[in-house]
Amino acid sequence: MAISQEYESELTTYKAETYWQIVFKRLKKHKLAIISLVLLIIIILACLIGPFFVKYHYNDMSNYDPDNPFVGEYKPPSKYHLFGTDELGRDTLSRILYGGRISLFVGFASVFSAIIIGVFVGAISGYYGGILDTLLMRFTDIMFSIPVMPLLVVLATIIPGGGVWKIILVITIFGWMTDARLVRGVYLSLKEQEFTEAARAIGASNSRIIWKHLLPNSMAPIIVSSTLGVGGNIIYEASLSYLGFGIMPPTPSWGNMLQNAQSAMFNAPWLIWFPGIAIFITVLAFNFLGDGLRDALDPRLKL
Amino acid sequence: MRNYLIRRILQMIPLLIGVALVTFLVLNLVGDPFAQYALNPRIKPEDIARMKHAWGFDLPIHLRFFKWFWSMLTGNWGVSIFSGGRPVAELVKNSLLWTLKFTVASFILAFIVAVPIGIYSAIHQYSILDYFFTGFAFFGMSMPTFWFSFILLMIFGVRLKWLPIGGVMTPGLESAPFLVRLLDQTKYFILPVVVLAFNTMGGWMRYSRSSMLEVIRQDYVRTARAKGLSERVVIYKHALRNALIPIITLLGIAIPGLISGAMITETVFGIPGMGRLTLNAMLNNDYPLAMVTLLLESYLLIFGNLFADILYAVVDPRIKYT
Amino acid sequence: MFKKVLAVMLVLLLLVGFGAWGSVFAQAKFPDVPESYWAYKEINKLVELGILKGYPDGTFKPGNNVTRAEFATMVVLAKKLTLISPATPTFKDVPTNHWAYKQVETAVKAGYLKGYPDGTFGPSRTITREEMAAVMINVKGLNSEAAKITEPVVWGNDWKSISSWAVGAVTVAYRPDVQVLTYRTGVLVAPKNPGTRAECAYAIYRGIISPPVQSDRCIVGQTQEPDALVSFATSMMAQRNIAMQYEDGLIGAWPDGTLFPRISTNVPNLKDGTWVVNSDGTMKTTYYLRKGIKWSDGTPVDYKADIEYAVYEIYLSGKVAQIPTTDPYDKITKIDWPDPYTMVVYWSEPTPFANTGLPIYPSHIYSKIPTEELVASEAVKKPVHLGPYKIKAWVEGAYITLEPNPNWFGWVGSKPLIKEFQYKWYPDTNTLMMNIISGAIDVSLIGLGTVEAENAKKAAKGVTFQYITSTFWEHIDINCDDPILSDIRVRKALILAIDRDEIVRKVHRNARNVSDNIFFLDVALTHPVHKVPSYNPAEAKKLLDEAGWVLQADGYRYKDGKKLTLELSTTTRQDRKDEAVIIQKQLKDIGIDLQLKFLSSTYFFGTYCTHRMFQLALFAWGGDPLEPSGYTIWHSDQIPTEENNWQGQNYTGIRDPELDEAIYTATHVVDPEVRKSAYQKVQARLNALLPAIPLNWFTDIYTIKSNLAMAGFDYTISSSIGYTYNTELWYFEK
Repeated sequence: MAISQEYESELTTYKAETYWQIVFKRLKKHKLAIISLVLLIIIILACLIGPFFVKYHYNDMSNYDPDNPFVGEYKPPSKYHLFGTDELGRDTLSRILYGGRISLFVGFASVFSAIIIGVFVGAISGYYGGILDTLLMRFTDIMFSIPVMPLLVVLATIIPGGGVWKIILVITIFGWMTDARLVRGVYLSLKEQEFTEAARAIGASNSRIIWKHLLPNSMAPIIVSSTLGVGGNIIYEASLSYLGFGIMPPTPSWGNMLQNAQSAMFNAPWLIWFPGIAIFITVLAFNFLGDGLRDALDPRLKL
Repeated sequence: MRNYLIRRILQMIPLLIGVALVTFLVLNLVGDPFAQYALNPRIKPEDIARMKHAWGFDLPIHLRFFKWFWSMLTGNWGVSIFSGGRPVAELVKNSLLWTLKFTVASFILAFIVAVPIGIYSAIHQYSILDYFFTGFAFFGMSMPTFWFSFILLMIFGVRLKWLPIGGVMTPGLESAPFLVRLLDQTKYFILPVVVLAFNTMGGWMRYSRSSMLEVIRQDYVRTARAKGLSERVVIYKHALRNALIPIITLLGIAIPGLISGAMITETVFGIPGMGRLTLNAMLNNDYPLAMVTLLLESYLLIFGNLFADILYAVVDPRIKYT
Repeated sequence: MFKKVLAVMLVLLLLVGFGAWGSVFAQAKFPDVPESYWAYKEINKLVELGILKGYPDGTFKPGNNVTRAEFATMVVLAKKLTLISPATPTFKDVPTNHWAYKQVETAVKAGYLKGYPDGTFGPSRTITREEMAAVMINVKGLNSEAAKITEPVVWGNDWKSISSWAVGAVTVAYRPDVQVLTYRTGVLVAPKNPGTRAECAYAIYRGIISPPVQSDRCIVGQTQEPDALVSFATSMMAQRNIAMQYEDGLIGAWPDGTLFPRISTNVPNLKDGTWVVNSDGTMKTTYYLRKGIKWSDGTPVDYKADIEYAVYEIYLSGKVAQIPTTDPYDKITKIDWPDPYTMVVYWSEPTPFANTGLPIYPSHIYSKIPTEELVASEAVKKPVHLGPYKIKAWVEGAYITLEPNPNWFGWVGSKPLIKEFQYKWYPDTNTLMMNIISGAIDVSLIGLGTVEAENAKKAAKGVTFQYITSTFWEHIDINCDDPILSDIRVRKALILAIDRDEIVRKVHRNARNVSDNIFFLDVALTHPVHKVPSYNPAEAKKLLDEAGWVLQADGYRYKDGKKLTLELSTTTRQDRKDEAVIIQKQLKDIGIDLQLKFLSSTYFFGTYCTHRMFQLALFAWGGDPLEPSGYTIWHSDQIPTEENNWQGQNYTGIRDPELDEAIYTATHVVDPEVRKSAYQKVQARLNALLPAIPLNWFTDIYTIKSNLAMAGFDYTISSSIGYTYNTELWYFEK
């Protein structure tokens, strides 16, 4: 039976939008967040593929002649070295790009591992409740209450090695608690809702409920905290480098480039400005994006 | 309410013990603080053994924990290993005074800047000023503090020579009148206060903004608007008050931050505060001092949380606790 | 007659010659007065002003003697006096046609010099140092003050040889606001020795041209705040620098290690009976202490009470937990006082430190406080002692200020030159650097690293950077019990394969000195030091071949199927990591696979080294030039084992009976000649056994404003001599 004319107009072209499409639409309203997103994509791409295109390897010290140390070092930005050179004659631009890889990797990886641990702890704790919940939450509280920086320092000294993985481990150890609490909160509120009961009724196992049904609902706050977390972790890495415990040279990272360059600030200010601004723009972008995502993902906002 | 309080406090006890235990274990992993003396050929093994005994290092680990925990609780905080034998309590007190001087100032600065602009941003969401204020607030927390401090010192200290480069006081003013000393110390504290304030501003601004946003979307605000009240009355009389509630409760969480100081900022500016004290204690394995400072911060955090929760319960009538 | 004509002609020739070259020569630098010469500035300034000239051959000959006539001339020129020319000569031997006639007459008329009782002047006699002092005192008008002084107050070990008429002049000549004399090597006054041209130049410069002036303050920056001010509560270098200003002791140590008397009037030595070693090993040292010494609060010193309190109550009672070591005072059996100013100390066994004095503290203040609480008391925060300065204020965390101590015996009427010292703390080396560059601080004591110093040098104006070799000796300990390393050929190959110069060039940018000797301290007792073989990778490869380690295709050596892999462990200091990377590369060149392991310093020093878990350990020993010791490092009963609870510092595990005997003798006997030959044997054995690989010495970097005179030295410092050992002499030149 055909639909009569007068009703056709009422058939609005209402396209069924997925949750993520709605979110993205809302995100677009936040101009700064969109700019930041674009900027971050550019930065990440530059760091990923840039090192393949620069003329000088990041550890190329061929300019540097230790018997004649003042020849290659500390060259200001020029057409040969767009960002100048550092104290060993290495090209700053390639170090920034390669270092960006490292810093971004640390940021993302530590957030990622924090999510894994946090989600696991939060989900189990929130869903099963009872003694398990109490125990896990007490432990989370303990970890929350311990001041981070001093213990980061202690851990960085006693865990041997100096690579990227050590930093990720150290930052993760103190980073999973926020996600755990967030996820637990979501699970606590959702587990009594009807759709959970319905899932149980149709015979879904506990683990299926946890991972397939409830988890997607907790993604929103996790995404927000993670975006902000990447920025925060990049700064953590820089702070650890300042204290001497971060990524070890010769591997560059924005943090250790800053720390190396401090003493050269009067002779080679570009060594201080470029990595610092790189960190600043990247972290600022993550902050704006996270803020925008929070607005966009806020379920209470009505379109 | 009282039951809630009692339950919360009881829940805190295992937390307090747990924190002490974890801190103790982690610090013990670092090892023996007397190792460095082994390098000096003139220090005999008997001397090292004597020092070890004086600080209880010859006891097995569990005994050491209980011995130390008990003395911590009874206020017998012992004596620092590497600070010339001065009592830990005295070191903490001195550092605390310096830290409070600049954390309280930066906290006030951050608060009075962040909250209003957060609320404004919420009211005028997506406007240019919203972006500007958000950017301003995030400015400070998007940079490593040591870099920011450094740039400021370079500009104001070395190039312009307006402000001193690090330090806390000009010598010679020990017995000067209060106002003179205050003015003098302001010169030293301006930059660290600015750095720290900018660092925390972002969080406060974001929180006030989201709190305000949440309130604005409530039904009662819509009702007030529907009633025909002016926007001003709606915002400032109804929404704001409720938005401020969660912000106030955040004060409880902020207190531990006031006391733990800012390790890196203090090191760069040479402020002898709690942050630096803790950091040095960690790096030197100054065991008695490190334990006290860590525990102090953790306990303050826990109590701060409790305080915030209580405040929240008292202030927010919607919350019922059986 | 002929001689006089010749002399005049010579002088005329010189004058004409120099007149022609005058302007050129005035600025010219002398080949025998290099920039590092101690009187470089003074000599060149005087030449520039025309008071002194070089020789026609272009040299200055700073060590030559000076005649009385020449000195009179210099003084008169410097003081710009109008020359008088009286008709009748005052002296028989200075006639009117003497080349220095006018100058001598002017100088004598002005009261600067005198003739001899027999009417002569002695114009060609060389002037002695004490005569120089007397002349300068007259020039400065201080003769009446000098006349009042009966006992010399100088640091010289030979003060007894000062003529009685010159005692006052010499004392005043050394005092801070005059400073016309310096000490000769060995801390000697050498009063009857002729003054050299350099010393005269110095005296004239300090006395007339640019005398010391007073300044309001000197600001010193350090990276660390001392944890305590009294020396028995800490061993931090940060405290040592301040302590050298406010404390004084019986015996002082010059930066080159020479001992000299301060509160004591003698340094006990084996030659004059003040240090007696008995056949059973017991010893007796005698000190003659100065009279009239007061504490900084004005209380007169009671030697018996104050010294015995310090030794017995503070150091030996065990009540002060912070005492880092009781050595050597635990060997004292008795202290006798034949009279209140003579102290006789009896020792139970030989110790080379018996002549370094005993500690002294104000018992009239400290004994009122229970000893256990002393370190935490208020009294030690503003401690009373005997030095040129005293603590004015200590605002913890912020600064320490010092002001001159009017009760110090060394002023002898002098005005203090720097009226206040301020010590400030900058834990961040970059902040310290910024303060140096902006001129906000005048002195920085240790703290800057080599890279920072290089950068700061380019940006800072008017700042002098001093690189002083310290006694920390960077080296690699070889675990001689390790199966691979127990083969001496492998150890020798390691030494031959490591290019120490490259490490210093690349890692330390030539700011450190290379070390080529295993027994690292090059002091009087160990001189001459034995050097290890120099860099020779070809030889190293041959040795490894001989030892059965054969080079395979992958570039590494194998023996019985095992790869030659060694582990180098060290701390996480950045420069150590850089060194390790270069060593890794150098050893790869000869086929050794070096694995690097970076550990936290507490674990490394506390466990890894003491429990001998390493194969190769890279770190630094600290030494004391006053006493080379070495017993705990090289003797076989000092090897740390589980049985002896890991005591001892012989980490390499070297066991050699000859070495044992030699090092025991060297460290348990007091006769320097016996010790010297014992140390030579020690070094010979060490070079035969090669248990360690020397690398380089640390450098401490100090910065001072370029116009701060008298600050700095270029000797190696021991842990007990700070840069501030002579702050009473510092002044800012205009």
